Amino acid sequence: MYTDKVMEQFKNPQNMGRIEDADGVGTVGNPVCGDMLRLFIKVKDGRIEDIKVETFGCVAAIATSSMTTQMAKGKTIEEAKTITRKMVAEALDGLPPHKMHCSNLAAEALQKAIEDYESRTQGKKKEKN
Amino acid sequence: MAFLDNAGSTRVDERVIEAMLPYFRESHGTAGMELGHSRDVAAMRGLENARKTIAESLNADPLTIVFTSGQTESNNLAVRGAALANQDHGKHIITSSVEVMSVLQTCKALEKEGFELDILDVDEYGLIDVSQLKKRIRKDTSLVSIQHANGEIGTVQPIEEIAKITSSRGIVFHSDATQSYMKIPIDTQAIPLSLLTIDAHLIHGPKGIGALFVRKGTRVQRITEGGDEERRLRPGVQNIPGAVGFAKAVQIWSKTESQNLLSLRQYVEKRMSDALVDYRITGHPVKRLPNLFSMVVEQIEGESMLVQLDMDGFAISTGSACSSKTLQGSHVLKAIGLPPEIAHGSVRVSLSRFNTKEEIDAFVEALVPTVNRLREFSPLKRGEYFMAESGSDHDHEEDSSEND
Repeated sequence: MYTDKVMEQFKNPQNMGRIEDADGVGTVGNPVCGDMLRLFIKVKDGRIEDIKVETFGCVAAIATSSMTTQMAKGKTIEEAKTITRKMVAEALDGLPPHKMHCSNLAAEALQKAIEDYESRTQGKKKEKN
Repeated sequence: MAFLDNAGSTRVDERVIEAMLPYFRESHGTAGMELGHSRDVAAMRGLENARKTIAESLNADPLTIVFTSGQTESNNLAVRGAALANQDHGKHIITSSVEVMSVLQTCKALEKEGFELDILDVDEYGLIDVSQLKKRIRKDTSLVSIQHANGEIGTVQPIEEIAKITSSRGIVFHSDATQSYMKIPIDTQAIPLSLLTIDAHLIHGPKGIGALFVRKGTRVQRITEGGDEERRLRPGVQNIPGAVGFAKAVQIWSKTESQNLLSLRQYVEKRMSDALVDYRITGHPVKRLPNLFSMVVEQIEGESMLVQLDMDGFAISTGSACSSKTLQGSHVLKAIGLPPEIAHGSVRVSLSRFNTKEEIDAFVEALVPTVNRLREFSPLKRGEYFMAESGSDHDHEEDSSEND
């Protein structure tokens, strides 16, 4: 059912865990459907210097979480904003149709983390002014 | 490789396969309504001997056994057939929230056709409350359908008590005994139930064959049209090799089999309690199938456990939403009141005669690191069942037209 790439990510997921003093945190998920993600980013000079994710969910959820962090790590914020669920699914050579929503979850968590980072930094800018 | 999903299906015993083969090769006639050639006669003998064996296992007369294609068909025939045939008594049906889909969906379909349906709740162990059942019985209650044992959490219902109540009121009582048949003795002389569903594929018989016990005097209507086979209750050429295999599976079920299964299940329970933390056993602690161990493992999800264990050589099952193609979680786990994020961590280990203590040891040795690994990167920590800030509903659409 799952591609080799998905299984590789599942066996050796990258960047799993949390960042205590993260610059942005994105939480997505819903206990009813069975997936929950929390994604942390550390930003330096406009780049995602470090990224980690905690995942509660199925193989697809874990694989897409891991892949998303790998695609975002080292990218600028603007580059990371362009990462979509389709790109994540493609990087995994595809997901079974009923699992596509898992890839949506991971991409969404990344965007939320970026939003959180941006609102925090804008807040700081406002304070300064 | 250890196969620990025997409540899902079982390996067909070699002796069963051997017993079936002649009915594919030499005795391949139909059981025939007309006296036919010797191939037909041989087939008929095979079928009728099978019927006799199965009847004896239930302390019943062979005339009470109707062969079907399995649990689903038997349940449909029992529920729909009895509901339609007993309409003059009434159109009120009572069932439980933990029945299999073939019972629940048939009941719901009848509801659309004008029957009234009462679905009894179960407690946290999955047990129905017999006094609740009594209260719901009305003058126009014509059918009660309550399973003997649950295939997800193992809980055994008090069918002896229920049968006493229904028989004293002239109400048809159907019980789906697919999961319990042979594992728990059922004496139809001692228990006045009207209809009983059984199936071969959970007792090392083949798939595609089951039966319905129909007590003499129980009114049941056929639900498919055709000839006069199976006392006109189930038309069609019977699955004779299947029936023969079914009977063989029954014959080879040893006297100590259930006790062996129970001992092994208790061994699973002990190994788990020594090895694993933060989990809960589901189903009743005592009134449960001898071979079924079911739990929910906290902080992690079932499909990820299942796939990892499969890679390690162990077949188990889970009731998590993500493990189903329809993304529907188990209705049984919902019925016993488990919150969804805990229900998603469900694991079912169901044993058979082919499982050994060594396999259980190896399984536990594979399970513990699996659980630990998944827990390490879970956002849920010990005692947490929700995320601190619960996120938004994420999009379940596989194809979204927005800015991808």
